[in-house]
Amino acid sequence: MTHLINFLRILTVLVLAVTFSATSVLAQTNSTDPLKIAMILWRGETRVEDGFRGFFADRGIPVDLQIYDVERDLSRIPGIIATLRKNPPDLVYTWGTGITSNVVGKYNQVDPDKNITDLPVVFVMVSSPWKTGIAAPPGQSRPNITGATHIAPLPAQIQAIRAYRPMTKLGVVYNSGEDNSVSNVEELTALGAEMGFDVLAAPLGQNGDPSSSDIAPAVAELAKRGADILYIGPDNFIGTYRDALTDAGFDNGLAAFSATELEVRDGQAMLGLVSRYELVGRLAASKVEDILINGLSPADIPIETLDRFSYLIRLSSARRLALYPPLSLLDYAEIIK
Amino acid sequence: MTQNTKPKSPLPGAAKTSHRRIVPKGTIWILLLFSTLALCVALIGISWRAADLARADLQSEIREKAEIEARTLAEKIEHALELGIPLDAIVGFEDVVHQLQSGDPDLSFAAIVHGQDLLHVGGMARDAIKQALASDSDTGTGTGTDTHPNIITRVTLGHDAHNDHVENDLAIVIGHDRAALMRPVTDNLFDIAIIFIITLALSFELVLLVLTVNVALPARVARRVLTNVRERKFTILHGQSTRDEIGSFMEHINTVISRTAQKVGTRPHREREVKLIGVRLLAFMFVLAEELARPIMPAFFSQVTAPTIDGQLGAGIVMATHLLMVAIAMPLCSLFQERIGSLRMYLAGALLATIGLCGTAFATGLWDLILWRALSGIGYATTFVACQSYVLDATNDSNRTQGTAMMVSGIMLADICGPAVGGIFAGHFGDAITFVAGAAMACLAVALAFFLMDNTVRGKTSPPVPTRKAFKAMLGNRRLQVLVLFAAVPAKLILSGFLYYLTPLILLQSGATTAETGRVIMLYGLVALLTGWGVARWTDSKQNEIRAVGIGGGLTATGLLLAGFMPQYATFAVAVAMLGLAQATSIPAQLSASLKISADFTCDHGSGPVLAVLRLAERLGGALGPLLAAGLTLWVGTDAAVLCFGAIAAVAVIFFEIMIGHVPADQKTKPSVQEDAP
Repeated sequence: MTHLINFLRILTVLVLAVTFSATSVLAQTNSTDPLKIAMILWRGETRVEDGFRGFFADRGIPVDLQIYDVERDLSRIPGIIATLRKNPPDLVYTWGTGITSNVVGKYNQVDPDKNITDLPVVFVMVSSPWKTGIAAPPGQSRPNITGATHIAPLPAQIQAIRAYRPMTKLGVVYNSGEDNSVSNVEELTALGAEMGFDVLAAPLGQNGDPSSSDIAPAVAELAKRGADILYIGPDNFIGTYRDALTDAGFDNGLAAFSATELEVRDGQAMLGLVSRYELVGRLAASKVEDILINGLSPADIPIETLDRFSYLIRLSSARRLALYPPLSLLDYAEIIK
Repeated sequence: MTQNTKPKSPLPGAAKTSHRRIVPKGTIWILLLFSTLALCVALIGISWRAADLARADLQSEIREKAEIEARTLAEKIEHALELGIPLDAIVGFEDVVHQLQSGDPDLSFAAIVHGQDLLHVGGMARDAIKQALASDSDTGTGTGTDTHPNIITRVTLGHDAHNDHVENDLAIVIGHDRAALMRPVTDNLFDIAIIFIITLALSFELVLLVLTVNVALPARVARRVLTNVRERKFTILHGQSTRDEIGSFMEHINTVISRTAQKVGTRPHREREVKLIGVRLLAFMFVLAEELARPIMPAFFSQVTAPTIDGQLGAGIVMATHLLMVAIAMPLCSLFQERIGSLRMYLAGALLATIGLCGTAFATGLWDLILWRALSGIGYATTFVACQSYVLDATNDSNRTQGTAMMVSGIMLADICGPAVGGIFAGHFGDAITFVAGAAMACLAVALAFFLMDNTVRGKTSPPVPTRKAFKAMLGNRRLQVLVLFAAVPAKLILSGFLYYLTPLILLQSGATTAETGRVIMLYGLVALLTGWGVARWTDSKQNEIRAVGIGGGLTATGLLLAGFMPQYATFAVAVAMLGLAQATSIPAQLSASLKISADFTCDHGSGPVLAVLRLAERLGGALGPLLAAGLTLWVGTDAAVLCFGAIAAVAVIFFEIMIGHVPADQKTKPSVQEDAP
């Protein structure tokens, strides 16, 4: 009996030693290989991806980024998924609600044939992951998915608008075909009851695909109904035709507030409370590092947004509308001339 | 012989003249008068000069601050102009001025001026600013003279480029209230007044003790002995020993009385009075021992408990433990007070407090700190009950309220002096030494208790343990129930909820400084201290404690409702002062009333159980107060919470007045059996 126990002890030590050596060798091999990440993007690389790359460059972590640009066409996604299955990367990176929703499916409607379930997925630029079903409800988690959202909390957005000028009627033109836009408008309407404002909604695309030519009449209608300001939420369609919206606003004496950066920085929206895209990319990259290098499971990594936001003011738009920013905002807002 | 020693009788006319004199005759009085006048004149001169110098210093400080504020505003305007915002289209100047005012309450107004025109204004109406600037320029200085109500500061805007509206005479003008120059001086005056009052109170405490023990009591007993001799009775000797002239004189008298008594065949006994005044100093000392470290407790406890638990939480747990132990120990000690005796109980309590405070000073972590503070809490409760039982044993119905008020005055004085002295002490010697000083104070109290507490006071035999039936009957006493529910509980609930929770919260929120808030809270103790004795005498003379409790409740309700309807600094001060008067009227009277109401019970089973019930109810009220205040604050806001407390006080006093008078006649006061107690 004693001999048997001794034999088992020796065997256990040997097994542990072999396992440890094998793991060490494997880890050493892995540490020299670049992380293989497939990036599925909506409209090519943005500042988010600059931040993502910058994070790994700063830390000297080699990455092999395979770019798949859907060029605003979600029908390309099944083909990309098929390619990835043939040559699987270490991790998949998705940009925006539409792409992410197609790649991973809703938490309660996952189809292993259509969706990626066996690779870790990190998403960016998804404004409402819970409302759109990309993330599981609180208390549950999805085994292979985490990510970084980019939208400031809605109460903070409303306060940001009111720091600039009084607002009791918020005009929203949005694509009714986009889940994230619809849920955003619903949340705004509920918030309006608490914070004392009305949401004047102008949904587009209720009778088929929306058209850019629908935007100007919708804005004119909102102006007629007494909107104080136009709201640009996380909406791919409005994001694509942002200039049509802001120009219509100028024609009707309406300024535009944006929840996303590009509409102010590259467009003509007058103000915005936004996450800097580069920082969103860095936040997503830190989650990739946790998964691929630190060995954490995506299910254990929280879906987060940044804890600080930038207040952007586009002065050319303010000048055009003769709606200059209050002095107190000049202390902390980033002024874009 | 008799003729030689008899003093010369003054002439009748001369006596009349001396009665008419305002100032006594004699060189010493003239010198005293002269030196007092000279001192006053010198002090007034020095104060005047000091105030003048302080004003000059402050004026330069305010000018520097004003320059910085004006420059800050100017930079904002210049930044806006550089961004291309037209001067007349600048938005939010008034808001920026309001922001500056929140950091500097003395800032009256600010304006952007262009020549004589006011382009943007903030802080005051446009016309008022225009008038202020016009009267300033009339003086010719442009910077505000000593008589001008505002100190005006002007900063020229440096921006001159690319903007047609901007010319060289564009400037920021700001005005500060000239009264601000006197504010630090008046603040200091308040502090000096507080220190003056504390010093006076401490001196009074010592003088009162010395005079009572060495002069008043021996003289009173001597009068009784001599009156006895005059009546040709030789039955009492002077037993109030002192080693001064009165003592040696009365020793001679005692010898004569003893000799005469032997001749007439009587056996005189030594007469002495209980040193009730001593309990006042003992109460003062045990509270002072605890209160010395009061200002540093939260920070010190956080620091000690930080390695184990979140500092704030740790401090909260430790302080709650102390309060819990006091709450548990006080009623328990009340139950046993008559068995153990006041002196032994006080000694045990002071010893526990000494150990607890010493241990606290050298505590190393959460667990031992909890232990030390628990010991301190038990010590505090034990000494409190000991002092109270001493007072009850040494008084009767005719002076019980005064005796209690005397003890409460000692506690109030320590409440006022302790944190102030302790704060200064901690600043100089550190936190740990402050706790050690508290321990030393408690230790000194142990030594003094031997001299100041009369061991003869204790009742001859301890009363029998109350049966369950007797206890139930006591608890079923409707009048006692009314007293506890509508007077004792609300009094402590309002004290802790309003005075210690809502008042600092509201005053600090409304912009009062910590010192100003502290002064208002201190008013409570001061008023209670100054009025306690007089009110208690009145209560005893009228023998109507129930009325005193009702008046206390009414005063509390009036003050709180006033503060609730007009939540300003001045009305809060009035409300707090009224609360001080109300508690001084009500608390000692509650104690006397509870014993009178429960006379049936106390004559058989002693006062301990009744006091235990009263103390437990008070502690319950004290614990509920902050909880209720916090809940109401969250629910209806701070101002409305004060109104709610006022309403609670009003309802409680109305119910008290209605129900205390409508009880079965057999439960009304019966003649007290302690009427003839020593």
